[in-house]
Amino acid sequence: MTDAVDRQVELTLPMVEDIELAVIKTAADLARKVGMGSVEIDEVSHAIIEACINAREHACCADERIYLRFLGGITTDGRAKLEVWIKDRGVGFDPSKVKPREPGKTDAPRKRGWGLQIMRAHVDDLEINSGADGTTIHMVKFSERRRDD
Amino acid sequence: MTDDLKVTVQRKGDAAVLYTRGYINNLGGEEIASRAYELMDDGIRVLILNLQETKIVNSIGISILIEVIEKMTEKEGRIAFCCLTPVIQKTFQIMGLAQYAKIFPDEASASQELGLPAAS
Repeated sequence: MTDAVDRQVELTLPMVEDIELAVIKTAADLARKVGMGSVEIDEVSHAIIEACINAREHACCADERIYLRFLGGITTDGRAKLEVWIKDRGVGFDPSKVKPREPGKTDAPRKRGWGLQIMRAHVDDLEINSGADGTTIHMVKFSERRRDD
Repeated sequence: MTDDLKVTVQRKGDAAVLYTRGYINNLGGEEIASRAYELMDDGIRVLILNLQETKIVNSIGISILIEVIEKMTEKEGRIAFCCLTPVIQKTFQIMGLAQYAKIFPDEASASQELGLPAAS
């Protein structure tokens, strides 16, 4: 639950190399405006980076676009909150079939497949909706401190 | 939009410190690997990666760093990291990199542990 100071940004960006840098800049600007701390902004930025590179590498979408929505606000108990939706119109995947990786198991080529675990570790809530019309990742990050602390 | 990684090297006898500046993505990881492999081919067996000027990483870049650690381990050498942001350190731990290489808060402590001359 957030109050009336919610700020929203929507973007459509091409899936090109390093586009995640533009995405995290937008997220960080918004998060700062609602009072989120630098470490929390850094955490959500690293989650966003993984979502963007997963979309670019695995979505196989014809339009080669990534659709983003950012919503920043203050919770009723005074904490900064940032929600981010990252959507592609690709082929989708079944999140239940993505097995968590184990640190130290380096047998896979390039030791890849850590994206979802990194996302989950860096945000407070992560929801994945995926189907034949694409994938949407919704992440939520709260600040630890209240504005009055 | 780019944030190309820059790597500078400071050799200290049979050891070296790699200083990174910028985003460790696939290209950044490959740049670090290229410089590290050159040093290994030249006989370097102790390497410190100082990430003080790196604020963002991704899982592709880290996976390449793990390959560098494995190659150094095959050569019976040692690699350590220092000056990580809290979030980069957390990401390293998630991916298990901390199981292969030690992480230090600063270059002085990394140098002391690995037997390098103190940072100037």
